[in-house]
Amino acid sequence: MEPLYIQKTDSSPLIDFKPGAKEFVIEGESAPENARLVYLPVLEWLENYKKNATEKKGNVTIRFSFDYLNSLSLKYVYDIIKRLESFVEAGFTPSVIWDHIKDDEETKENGEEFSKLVKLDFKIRERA
Amino acid sequence: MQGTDNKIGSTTLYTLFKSFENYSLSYVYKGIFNPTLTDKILSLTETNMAITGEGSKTQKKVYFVMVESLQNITRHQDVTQDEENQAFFVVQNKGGIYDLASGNVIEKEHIADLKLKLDKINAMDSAQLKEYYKHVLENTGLSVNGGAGLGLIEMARRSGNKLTYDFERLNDKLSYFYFRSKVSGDSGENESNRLNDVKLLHEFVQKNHVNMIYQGVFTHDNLKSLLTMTEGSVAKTDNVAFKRKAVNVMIELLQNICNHAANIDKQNEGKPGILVVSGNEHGCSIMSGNYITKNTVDAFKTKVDKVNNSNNQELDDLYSEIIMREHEPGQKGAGLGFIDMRMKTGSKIDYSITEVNNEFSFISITVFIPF
Repeated sequence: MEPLYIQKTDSSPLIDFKPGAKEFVIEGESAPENARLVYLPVLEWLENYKKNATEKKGNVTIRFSFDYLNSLSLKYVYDIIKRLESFVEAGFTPSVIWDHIKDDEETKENGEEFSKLVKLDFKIRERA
Repeated sequence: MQGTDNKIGSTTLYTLFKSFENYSLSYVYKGIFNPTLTDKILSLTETNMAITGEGSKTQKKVYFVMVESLQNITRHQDVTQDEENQAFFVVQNKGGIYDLASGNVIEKEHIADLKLKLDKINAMDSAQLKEYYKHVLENTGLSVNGGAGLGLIEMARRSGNKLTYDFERLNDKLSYFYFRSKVSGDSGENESNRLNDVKLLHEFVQKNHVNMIYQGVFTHDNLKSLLTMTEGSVAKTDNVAFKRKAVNVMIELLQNICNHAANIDKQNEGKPGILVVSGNEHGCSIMSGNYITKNTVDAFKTKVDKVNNSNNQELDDLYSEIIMREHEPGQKGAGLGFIDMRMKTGSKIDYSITEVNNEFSFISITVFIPF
């Protein structure tokens, strides 16, 4: 399966999903004018990966590391986490790592709220 | 004034300046919004918050609420092509209370839903808002405009204040939607007053064909953000020569404030001033206002009058004379600005001086750039 790699911009995050990698990464600022353009490919890629992964089914971890999230991004991130939750039925062991900047209460709280809305191994960590 | 048809007089400029004087930032824009402009408005506000030493928590909240307001505007601004009713945005820093207001046209059929949602949000406390947020996240899809319906909830949660709004009927199909949110603290103003201010400001902007107002501290650091924003506000034409002239005039006026404005309030650092861009079918007016010390008034008048009363040949000579003169250490500006503006626009430099007190005067300068 092809990897999904999208470079970060001033208003959209780095997206780095490589089949077989230890973790899939979404990292940076997320306040794009059109969040759909940024996140729809991620949702589609995950769906494909779930169905077609030739790599050994096992751990699938997404690490989110946001500096900033606008409200529309929250919606898409929720959809991504929900999509990841559905990996359980397909025989994977999915988990989330939610990194936030020290003292960034909002982003931390966003992670805590997400963690309560899904049944997933969900780690919230502080980063430098 | 030579056919400038300029609607804002110097008295009006001074009144406007005085009404904003206690705020460390006032920025008003009416026109078309795009992501580049949004970025500049955000960066101007960030610069202002950094200068005023705002805490990082408040900075983040302000940033969030601004992004949501501005993105709401860009998402909904296509409803009207009518210039008078273009979208409108205001940000003011009133001593650590950030007052954000916006206005845009809305179709009649969307009013009831929006009103219902705003009233619902305003009736909730923070715990209820948190539950409502989760409910919308889990149960709501995306709207036709690509919104998730989370923006208003999050704005209410992060600002910690009620969202003030009103609708003004424009015609059978359309209304104008006023929206105001406030970050940090409570100034104790009552809600209807709060929106009246915004409506009055909007009325002023519409009546005078204003595209942009900036009032605050002028520094060489924020000059670039300001320039980009003002550039956007005169970009209604594809005439490259006109745009270049407008940008030139703006740079000169902005640098003028940075270099020569007086600081009337010794408590604060920086040069307070105001810049207003307005336009009509003939061209665009750029107006600046700031304090100067009284003892520099005569020299200023002599200089500008000489420029205004010179013909092209005399201006050329004056330009050559000054450019060959040695630039003295400590001298701010080259003294070429007014000559340059006069030559480029063909318009006289219109100025007016208002006495403030024994020490200071307020000076307004208007340059008209014809299309």
